[in-house]
Amino acid sequence: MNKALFIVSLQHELAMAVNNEFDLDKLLKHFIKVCFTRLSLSSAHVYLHQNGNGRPIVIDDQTQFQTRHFLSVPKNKEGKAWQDTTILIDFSQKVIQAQNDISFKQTNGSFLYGFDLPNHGIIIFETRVEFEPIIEKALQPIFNKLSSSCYSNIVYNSLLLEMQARKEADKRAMYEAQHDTLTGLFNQRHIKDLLEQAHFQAIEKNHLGCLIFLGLSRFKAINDEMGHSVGDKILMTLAERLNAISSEQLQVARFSGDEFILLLSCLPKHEQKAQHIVDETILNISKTINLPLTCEGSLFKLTCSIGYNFFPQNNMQQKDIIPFANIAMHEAKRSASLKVQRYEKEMSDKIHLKNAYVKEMKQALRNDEFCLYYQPQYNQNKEIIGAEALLRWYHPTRKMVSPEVYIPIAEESSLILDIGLWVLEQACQDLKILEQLGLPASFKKLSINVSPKQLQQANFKDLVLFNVEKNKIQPKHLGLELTENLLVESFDQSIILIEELKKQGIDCSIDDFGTGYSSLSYLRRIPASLLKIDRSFVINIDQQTEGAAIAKMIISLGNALNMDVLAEGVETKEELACLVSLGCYQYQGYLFSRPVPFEDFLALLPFSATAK
Amino acid sequence: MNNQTVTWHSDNNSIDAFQEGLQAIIAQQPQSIMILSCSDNHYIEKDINALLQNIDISVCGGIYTHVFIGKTLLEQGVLFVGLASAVTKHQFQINNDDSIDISQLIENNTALKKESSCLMFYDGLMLNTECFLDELYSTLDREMTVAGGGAGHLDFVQRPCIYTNQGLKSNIIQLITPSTPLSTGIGHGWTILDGPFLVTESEGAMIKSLNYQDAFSVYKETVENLSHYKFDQHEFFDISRHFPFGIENINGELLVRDPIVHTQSSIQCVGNVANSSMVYILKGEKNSLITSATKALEKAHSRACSYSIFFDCISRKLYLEDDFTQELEMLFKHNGDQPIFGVLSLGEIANDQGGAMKLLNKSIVIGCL
Repeated sequence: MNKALFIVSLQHELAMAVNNEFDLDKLLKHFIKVCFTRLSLSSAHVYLHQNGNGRPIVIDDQTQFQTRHFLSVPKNKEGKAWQDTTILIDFSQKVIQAQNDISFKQTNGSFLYGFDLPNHGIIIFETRVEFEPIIEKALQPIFNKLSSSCYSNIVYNSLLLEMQARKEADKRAMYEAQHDTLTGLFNQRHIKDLLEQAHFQAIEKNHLGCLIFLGLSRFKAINDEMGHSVGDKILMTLAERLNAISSEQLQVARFSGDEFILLLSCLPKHEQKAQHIVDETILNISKTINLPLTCEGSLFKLTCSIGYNFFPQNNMQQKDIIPFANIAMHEAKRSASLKVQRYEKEMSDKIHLKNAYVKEMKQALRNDEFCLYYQPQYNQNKEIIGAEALLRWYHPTRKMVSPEVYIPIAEESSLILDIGLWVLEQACQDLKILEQLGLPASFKKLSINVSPKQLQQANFKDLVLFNVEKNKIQPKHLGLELTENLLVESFDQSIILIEELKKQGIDCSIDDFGTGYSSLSYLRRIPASLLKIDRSFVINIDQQTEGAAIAKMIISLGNALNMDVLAEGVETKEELACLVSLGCYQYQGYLFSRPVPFEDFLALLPFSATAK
Repeated sequence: MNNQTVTWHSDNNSIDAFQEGLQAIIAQQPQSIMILSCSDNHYIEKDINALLQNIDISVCGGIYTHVFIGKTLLEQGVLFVGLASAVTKHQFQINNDDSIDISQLIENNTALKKESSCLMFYDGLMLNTECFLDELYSTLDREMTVAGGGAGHLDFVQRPCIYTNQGLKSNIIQLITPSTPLSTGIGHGWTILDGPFLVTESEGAMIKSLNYQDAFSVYKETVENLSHYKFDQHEFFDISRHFPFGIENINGELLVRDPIVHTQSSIQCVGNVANSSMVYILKGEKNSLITSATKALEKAHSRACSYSIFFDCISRKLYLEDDFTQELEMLFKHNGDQPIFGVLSLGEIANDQGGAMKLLNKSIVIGCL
């Protein structure tokens, strides 16, 4: 009677221990804890059918699984994880293979009992007193119940995991939709949404907002010289810093490459008070950006240009807030002194004027309003040694437009590429004519100016060589004039290009030398053949010792680097005499000839061919 | 100090006596000090703490209802034990809530994980003791032999009762791992009066129903039928201390659970009683109890040792009353020459037959080191 009651009580107690716990680990641990008390266990071990990721699974005919260790109580035996002990490895394998309940007496006198957990794995008990057969039999229904509970638990957890994964994926998608991948700041799309809300709130609650547009200065040079990985790390550091000063009122986004937007909302309606807050915020931002930062062993100190724009404003739609702040930022970038600019309507007017110019230039290209003038270059024997091709635009109404007006505008847009290509094509065609006419022996080359954007064009070299080939001209007669600033901005890339063109016979000269900030170490590495002294050093060189000293230095430099030196803007005999005395023997300037149309230039040359 | 364990005791309940004993034992230059004092001393906690914080060697021990050394039972006073060999102390502050991850606490204690023997002094009125024991057993690197007893006062009001170098503490478990192996013996001597009964409803240490009837009604009816005690004539504890519950395990061993209070239908025990477990109502006999203590000592003495420590349940003294001295005399007689000392505890700790650590009631646990 007592035995029967004991069995009933044992079964009840263990069955009650199989509860509805949703955590499989907790469920099994609780069950095992009760088994320890009731069965005087020394240790207990559970092996479950698991998938490749080690997650317990419900198996069917098609499921791939392995029966692996899931938990042991206690965890260790003699300092070793139980599942790594030989005795448990061997016994568990036997139980798994037998697919039946088995027992084993260890050499230390204790017993191991292996039970089947139907469809889920096995459970092993270690005891110091042998179980009676009736106990072993009484346990089987308990393990069936435990198995059912494992099934519910695994199915529930699979669903839970699936739901969590979906939730995570949604969360991730939402995050990715709103954040910049590199910096983790808000992205362009999201800041536009935030701006829309802020604009609406500002109108609704009668307060002001401010959009601050920030552009890093000379960041491209860092990317070009140090590589994009360094550039990216710097951007991430800056993003962290900007994020640190962000708040509910100040939201930060990466707008594009090296441009950021800071959206300041809930400003007082009183504009002076709002301006004060904006000024303080911008000061804080500038300080944050200006703090030196170290990346891959190099120290960087960044600066930025900032444009900002208050909202709401009459005559300004919400969609214009970002573009206008961007305009102000670009205005600040162009300004030598002011690195922060508040947007003003005149800025847009200027932009509109520029846009109109761009439109007209495009039209001019189509209408063939551009032409090339050539300014000849001379040696000390007054022989023409070459010429510089100079672009001229004969506008139907404005007549001759100064290149100083339209070239910078074209430089700001991609139009400079179209114009540059036109210049290249036209110069090559003109050179073909010159060659056909039989160039004099003194004539070395016809040079064209190359803009920074052209030099960065991936196919620039191909375009040059294509035009040389197309016109069947000698490459040595074509020269490219590059400014030293242009070289500094993308130095390594430029050097490779110049070397490649040089191998094809096309030489480069350095234009406006002395006005930029190229160092001697830079200059030494540039494979150019000619240095052109900027006209600013040549004007009145005979009267100004400073200009003469600079010119002398450039001439010495040219000599030391085995480069020819040519003086630009030579206008008087005195200037010429001074240059000669300094050792400069190549000249260009009004003293010799103004830039002239191609037809007039032809007239200046003593051609050898009869076809003149 | 040579390799002997030295003791100093006094039945004086004053702080001066405490201080005198402390100085005397420190003068012996022990490696660490075990302090076992009586709850009836009325020490001022602040004064004790000041003395403890000035000791620069490891301090362990607790305040127990009674302390004995040799066959002397102290109802007041203190026993200092200067331990010649180094012991390591691991303390766990465990408050009565779920805010502490006990498993993680033990997992982080890599030194403790490697140990294989320990004495355990703990606040006998703290909760979570059994949970701590389960986690300890589950997390250690190897099987650990344990002997311990719950400190505290018989009025069951929780007060700071564990001696530490930081002062007296409550809700604390102190594990003392000696440099020599510990051997233990356990006994209780309680025998079956009636049963078995199926625990048809329980919650923690509260038995709510037996055989689908109110637990208290079943208990009362059984005890009154089989003894001369009447619950309407005596206090519940005056009767229940003679008739504890015994939970039978698979090996036929009885894990004793002491019923201490009752409600109209339920009985509160010291230690958990699982739902659906099978329990007996036990009875005590003087000879059986005393014999069980002697057997426990014999088992603990299975290997040579330098001293013996006893954790004897206070309820055994309450049951044996004047005859309790006989238990002490028997133990002293069988002990031999080495020092023997111990305490009367609120709950005892030892390994069960399978090796797991268990909270016992109405038992005697003897540790030999």
